[in-house]
Amino acid sequence: QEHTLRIHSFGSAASLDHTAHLDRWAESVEADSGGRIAVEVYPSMQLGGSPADLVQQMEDGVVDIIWTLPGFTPGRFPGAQGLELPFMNTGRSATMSPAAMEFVTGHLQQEFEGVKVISVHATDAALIHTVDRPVRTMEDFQGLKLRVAGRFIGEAVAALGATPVGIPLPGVYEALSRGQVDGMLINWAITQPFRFYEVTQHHTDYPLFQSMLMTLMRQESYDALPPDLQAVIDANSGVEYATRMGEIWDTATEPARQATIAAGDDVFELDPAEVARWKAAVQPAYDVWIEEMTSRGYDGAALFAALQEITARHGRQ
Amino acid sequence: MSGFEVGVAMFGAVLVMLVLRVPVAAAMLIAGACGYAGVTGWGPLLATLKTLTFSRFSSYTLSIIPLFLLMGEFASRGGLNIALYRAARALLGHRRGGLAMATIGACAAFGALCGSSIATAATMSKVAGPEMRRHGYSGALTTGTLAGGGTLGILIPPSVILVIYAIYTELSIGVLFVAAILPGALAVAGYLAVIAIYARVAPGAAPRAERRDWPTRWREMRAAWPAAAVFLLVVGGIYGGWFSPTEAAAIGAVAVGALAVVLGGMRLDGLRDAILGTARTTAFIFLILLGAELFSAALALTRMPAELSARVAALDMAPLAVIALVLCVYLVLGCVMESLAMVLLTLPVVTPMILALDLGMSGPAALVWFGILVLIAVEVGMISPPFGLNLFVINALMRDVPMTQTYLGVAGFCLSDVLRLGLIVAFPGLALWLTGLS
Amino acid sequence: MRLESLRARLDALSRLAALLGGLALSAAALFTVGAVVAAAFGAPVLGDSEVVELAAGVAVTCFMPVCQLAGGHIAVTAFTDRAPARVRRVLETVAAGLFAVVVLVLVWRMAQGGIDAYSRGRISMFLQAPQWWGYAAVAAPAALWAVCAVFVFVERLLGREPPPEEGMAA
Ligand code: NA
Ligand code: NA
Repeated sequence: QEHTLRIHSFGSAASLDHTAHLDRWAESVEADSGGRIAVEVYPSMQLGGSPADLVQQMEDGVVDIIWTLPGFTPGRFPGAQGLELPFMNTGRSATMSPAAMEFVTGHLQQEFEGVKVISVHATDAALIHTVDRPVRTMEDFQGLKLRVAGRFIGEAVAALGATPVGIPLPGVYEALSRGQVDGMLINWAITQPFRFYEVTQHHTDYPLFQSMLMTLMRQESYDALPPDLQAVIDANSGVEYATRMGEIWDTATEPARQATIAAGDDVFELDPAEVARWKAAVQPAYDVWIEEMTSRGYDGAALFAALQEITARHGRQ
Repeated sequence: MSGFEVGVAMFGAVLVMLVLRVPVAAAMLIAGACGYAGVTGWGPLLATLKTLTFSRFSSYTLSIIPLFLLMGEFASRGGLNIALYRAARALLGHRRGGLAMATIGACAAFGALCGSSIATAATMSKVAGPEMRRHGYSGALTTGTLAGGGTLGILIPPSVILVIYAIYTELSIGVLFVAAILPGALAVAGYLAVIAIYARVAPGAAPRAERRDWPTRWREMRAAWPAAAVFLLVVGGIYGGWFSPTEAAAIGAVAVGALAVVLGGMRLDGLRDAILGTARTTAFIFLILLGAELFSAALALTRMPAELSARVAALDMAPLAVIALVLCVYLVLGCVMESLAMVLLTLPVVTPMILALDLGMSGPAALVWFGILVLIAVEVGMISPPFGLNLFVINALMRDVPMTQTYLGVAGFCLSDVLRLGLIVAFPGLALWLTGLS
Repeated sequence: MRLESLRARLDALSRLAALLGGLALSAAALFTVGAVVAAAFGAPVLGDSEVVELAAGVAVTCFMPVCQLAGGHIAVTAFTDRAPARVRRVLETVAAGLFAVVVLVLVWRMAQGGIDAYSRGRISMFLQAPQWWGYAAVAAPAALWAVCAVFVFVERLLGREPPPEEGMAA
């Protein structure tokens, strides 16, 4: 082979993110390039550092490609985090992922400068899982400690009346079983490998938001390839690729939900009247995001309008 | 040089440097850096070093190490461990090896909650080591007991590595905890047997105290109760779900510090010495952890673990021979690698191999059984002579014990580990009976 | 003679750094106890782990000089204990030289890491605390660490290392 591309990820080698996405991507690129590109995949932060270091590792050329979440590097991808705002989602990864790609490539060029976007696709829908107390109405949030994975969703949880708590993913199972937190906001698919249904009991089955999974390539690594090999990368990235990943992620939702129901858990729907109340209540999280984007030289309000327009067009609920 | 050769050279270089008196951390950093640059060139190495050091130093989970060390320093400045060991001697001192057995129990409880065998070995070396020596125990038996005891926590919940293995293999954490019960009990029983035999074969290594009457015992226990209460608070608080290991470490440090001031008469100079002692131990442990991280990153880049397992698979051997070979690899890796890094680096290549073997049991059963074996092998690697991270740590903290004595002392414990590994390989039921898997 | 007085000065400085690190660590412990109590009364502190991380990073870096100067890093001596004293001396001088290079590289890269954290605006997740704060806080102890590593090497090179009882007594 003439070129070696290294992919660094915080995900476990056994996770869907590797078995269905990064490993397949590596195979596909190797095959399409006729063996001229070799792709090496390093899961579980095997090349050192913490997930917060991934973006810098890509920017510095330690690796060529990273798989990360915008929340790991606060302040680096605030625009992309807009896609993770509550009620800004379509509920399905297959429709949310193309919306994400459209927003990122059409409106966030400044944020993604120096980065060749392989794919920004969404997880399946995230919802509220609690241990002792079901969350059926806004009043139920009072006094709850809920584990969240990022700043803006933390703002939303606070606006709804609960207290957001930050715990790294591997520690969440124990924190739930020990009562350190009363619940968490997380997508269905991930509850299966982490067996969260063993420690949670109530599941408010309404798609509150969707997290973004970003596969990013260093622009310089891309530019270093000859045009025909750049075309191979192009063929394995973009809206279609993200949509395909979205379809795969959606297939993980139902088995996770069924496993939870089989475990005897209480999975219930949210009253539409409550949905309307919650939507009105999370406005502070939107304001924080708009302000943040404005402080970065964007027209925050216009960007928010674009975000709403794009997600609405792709089927926001 | 191929990646595989670079990997082999890295191991060779570390071992040569260790023999030639290069400090452990420096040897791992040098071999790691050269291996890293050998694969990627110097640019990526220098770039990754920009964030690696401070990332490793400022870690929430690793912060338990300085906090528990500070707690241990306060305990010894305040004389709290003296009180604990006087009580232990009053109760158990008339038995052969009684104090060593008490230390095994304390190590198991402490290691279980702290989750890191290096931190357990370091803390217990400070708390228990000097006391065992003061009561006439030989250097070999003392360091051997600390090394063996330090590895016990890994099988006893909450075990960080067990949780990571469970998530990786999508096995239930509860099932793995259950699977670890019998092997964990076997480990404790094995270590106690080693101490009993040792004390009989070499009575001078574990002198017996005279049997105390109950009024004396009560008096000694009353003197030890504040320290015992803090220990119970820390251990019980974690099992009871009141706080996380880091929180427990902080609470332990603050509580023992207060006790040392109030009961032990610790003053400003005592506080200063406690901090300086914590500083030196923390510094060498963290630099080793940094070296281990760079070394395993470089080893990942060489792709040697993957190729090694491919070569093993290609040998087409009997399933049990494959298992034995894999366990031997873990013993070797344990010479210079930290247990968590070993597990993370090797699982992606090893678990598919295990699932492909015809072991006469279901896939989940094979993974549970193998997981228990790996956990034991990983820990044995860390205490097996001549190279083993925990041995270096313990020996550095027990300066009056020559390394050769430590090697002698730990041999019996390693032997009991290897016997236990053999038993669980021969009778997978030891790990599987209680889980109901087959 | 000047070497001895330099060692005394470095010794005092590295002890000071270690004590400041101990203060950071103690503060983190007290803060954590406070956060546990607050959480028990229904008011968990968002981002408490970020405070502990920052304090731990500062403490651990501050602890490095005193260990380096005292020769506290573990080496395996069992294999060469029977070698002639002259051989051991050469080996230890080479080892100290290698170690000094390692520490110089680590500190140099850490400095660059701090500059990056500042210029790239890296911040923490919940407290939005700039990461360069941590790097800035350890700039002086990290530099002292490098000086100590070089000093220990020079001492060995000149055959002037202090007797072992002045070293680490852990
Ligand atoms: Na360990
Ligand atoms: Na444990």
